[in-house]
Amino acid sequence: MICQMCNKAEATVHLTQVVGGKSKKLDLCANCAEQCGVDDPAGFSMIEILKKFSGVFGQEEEPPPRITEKSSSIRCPVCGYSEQDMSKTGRVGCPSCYITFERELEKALKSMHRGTRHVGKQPEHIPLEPEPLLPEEPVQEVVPEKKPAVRKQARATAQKKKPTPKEAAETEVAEAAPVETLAKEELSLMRNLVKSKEGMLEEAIEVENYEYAAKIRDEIKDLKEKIEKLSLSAKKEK
Amino acid sequence: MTLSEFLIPPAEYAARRGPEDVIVLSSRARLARNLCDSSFPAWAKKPERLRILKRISDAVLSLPPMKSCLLESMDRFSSNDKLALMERHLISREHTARGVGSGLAINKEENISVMINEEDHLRMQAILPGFQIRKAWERVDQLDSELEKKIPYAFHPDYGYLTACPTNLGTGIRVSAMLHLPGLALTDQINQIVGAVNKLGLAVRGIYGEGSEALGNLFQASNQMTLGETEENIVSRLEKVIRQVVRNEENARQTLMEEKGQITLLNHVGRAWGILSNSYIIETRETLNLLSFIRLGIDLGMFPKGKRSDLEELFLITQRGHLQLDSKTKLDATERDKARANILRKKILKLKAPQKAKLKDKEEN
Repeated sequence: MICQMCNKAEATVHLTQVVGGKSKKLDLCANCAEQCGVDDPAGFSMIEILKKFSGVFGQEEEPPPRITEKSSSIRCPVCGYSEQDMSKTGRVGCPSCYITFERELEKALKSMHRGTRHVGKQPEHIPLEPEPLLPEEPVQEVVPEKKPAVRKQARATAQKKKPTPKEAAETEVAEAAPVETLAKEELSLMRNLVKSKEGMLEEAIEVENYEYAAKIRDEIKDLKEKIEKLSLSAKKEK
Repeated sequence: MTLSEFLIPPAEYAARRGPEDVIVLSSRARLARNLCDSSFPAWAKKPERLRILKRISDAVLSLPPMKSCLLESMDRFSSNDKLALMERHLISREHTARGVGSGLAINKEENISVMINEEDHLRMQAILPGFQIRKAWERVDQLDSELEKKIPYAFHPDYGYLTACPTNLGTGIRVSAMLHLPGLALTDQINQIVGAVNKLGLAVRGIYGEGSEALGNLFQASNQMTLGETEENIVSRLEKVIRQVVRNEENARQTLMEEKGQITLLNHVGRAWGILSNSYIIETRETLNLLSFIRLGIDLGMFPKGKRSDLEELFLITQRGHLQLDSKTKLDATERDKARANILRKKILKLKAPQKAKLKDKEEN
């Protein structure tokens, strides 16, 4: 058997590994095997080698993720990472995944760490765009009743206390505007959210991701109820 | 410039000293950070990874401590270079498998290294000789504060710094120390100590960190949890535990020296000397394990001619990557084992056979 990499020497190293659910075989000579770092299990990635001659194996650059793919699991709306990906790798796809999979992660975090809320260093220079983390799903962040107590506590215990852009924006609005304008502001924010959520819902239904769709539907319902309450109280105050 | 031209020569590297470096060989602090607007490296596609690499590289280069640093894309290093970098603990084992789209920056003093697109977009570390965990943390903290002015970090008020793996979430900090514990190994206390340290929520790993075995009685102790605790707490807890382990090791060495005829010590150090000074073919594993006892012998004064820095240099240059760093032709496994034995034989013979260790009065605790 000839080495698949240099096509010259006799292959003496034979590898079998499951890649993307399929068993792949690789036959290398001692030299090429060493070059790939095969004898060092942690420093070696068979996928990387397979990618090098994708012609031979017909291996795609990377598994196709993204939301357009039909799937029944929850996917991160920003990067397309799925819950299955997460349980397979133990990692997440992008910063927003921490919001998408918040519920699943909370459990895991409890067993992993001393606490589930960050204390310690915070960046002093928070990126200019407000909440770049949550381009599509800022619900929890805006709705004031949701869990402000925990949030405030976490911040108070943090070492360097710096207002996040969101907090800063909130206080700015609060100082500049009387109560009614604040309520109005919040209402319009929430209405916008509902709109964007409805868009996400449609998309989720289109790709037959019903589990995710149901989640969004519930969120929309909650939001609408809150809007109603808020607008009622606003009217009363008037 | 080739890597071997940039790296501090092994003899000079081995001559660096730090506080309490008889038992604590080095201290490290690393931080995991990510960009707020990109997928994590394992999930990002190649063009995105390349963009991230460019962005972070530019930011790193603009920092004062990284002036005249080495900054390279990982595909520019040979597999051998990567090994040598790992042997100096400048990159992780995981990073040795990276190529296009990942990068590395090291400063001239080789005490700061920044891995780009490892598991996270950014893994920066400070590594110092001896027991200086706090100083290492301060160094990397400073670097991080400089860098955050240039790069928008992924940060969440509840979860802290967001990382690819939830095990690093929050502070993203890992502080560790490399400990040489032959005394505890020879007195059969090592498993007990490792167990006790684990119970305190700290990890004990082999010489090259995650997934590596304990060779040469070298152990890396580090924090495991990163969320729900301040960096200050994490650092001081590790400091306390390490101080305790160091004391245990010192006591174990004392016990060995007080043993009648120092039989255990002489037996192990003597055998190590005998094999190393008479080998013609020798593997890395065996080398590291035997050098550990030679080092112990030097620490205890059993080799009047022995200097610790010579031993540390041997330790470095006999490892696979360093062994081939200067040789122009690539060596195969047997050739390497021969070259290694040649270096060792000459140097170890010069030490002359070990003598009994002189008993010193026990220091007051």
